[in-house]
Amino acid sequence: MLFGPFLVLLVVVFVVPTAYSLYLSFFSQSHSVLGFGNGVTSFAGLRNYAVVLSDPSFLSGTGITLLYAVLFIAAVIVGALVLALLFDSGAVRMRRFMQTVLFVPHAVPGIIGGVIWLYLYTPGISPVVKALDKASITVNFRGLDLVMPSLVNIALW
Amino acid sequence: MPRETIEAAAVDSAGPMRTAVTIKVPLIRRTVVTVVLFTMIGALQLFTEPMLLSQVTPLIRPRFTPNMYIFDAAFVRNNHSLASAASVLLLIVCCALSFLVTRGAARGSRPEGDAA
Repeated sequence: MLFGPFLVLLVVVFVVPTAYSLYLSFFSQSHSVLGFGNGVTSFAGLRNYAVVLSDPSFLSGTGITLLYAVLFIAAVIVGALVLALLFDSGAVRMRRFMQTVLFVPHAVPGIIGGVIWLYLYTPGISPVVKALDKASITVNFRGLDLVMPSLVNIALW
Repeated sequence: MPRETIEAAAVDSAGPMRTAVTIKVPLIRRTVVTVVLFTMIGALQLFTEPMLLSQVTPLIRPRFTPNMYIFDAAFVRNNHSLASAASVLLLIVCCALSFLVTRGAARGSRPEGDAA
């Protein structure tokens, strides 16, 4: 009985969409040349899956995400563990206050944080890039080498 | 975290660094595994950050991650069936990796239980 609300939510936001998308994935819709009308829905079997799995962009995307996951999980776990152990060992002064400070970034929605980082990455307007330039360090946060660390950083901060 | 264990560590002349690494980390192991699991599931659904970055760098193409592929399929190419198929595949990958993580964690904790 106490599981009621949980079950309702689970069914509404997980089971039903999953089942519907499973159902959709076995059909394909073809429109007439001009795109009028509702198109014709036909059973496609596993053809959609074959298309996805043979699409190099999907496969490379999966590889990229796995790489990102490895970097991100390692950074999150190590960072969080170090911080937690520092707090627990009493090495931090004003513990309560510092815990609150640590939590403050959570108040910023992820997408806003992303936009702010975008601005910090953009040469010409970013104070970070400018400061590094003054120290005669040239970095391109959006270049080939740093694009993945940049991504991890946005999610991590 | 039981204070007695920490005190025992201090009595056995373990410094704070040693206590942290050899006593506290194994104690919160289960929590760490859960965090790894949730972080991984979140990471596999990477979408917001590359979507934003794709506006400023040509390196991130519209189908950079599986979730962006799904978005592109459903709302740019209007191929809902293809997007569904990709979503189902992503779900399967998530399930498989979660299973591996929990299995690996269970295996890793067994010798510890035997030793105790």
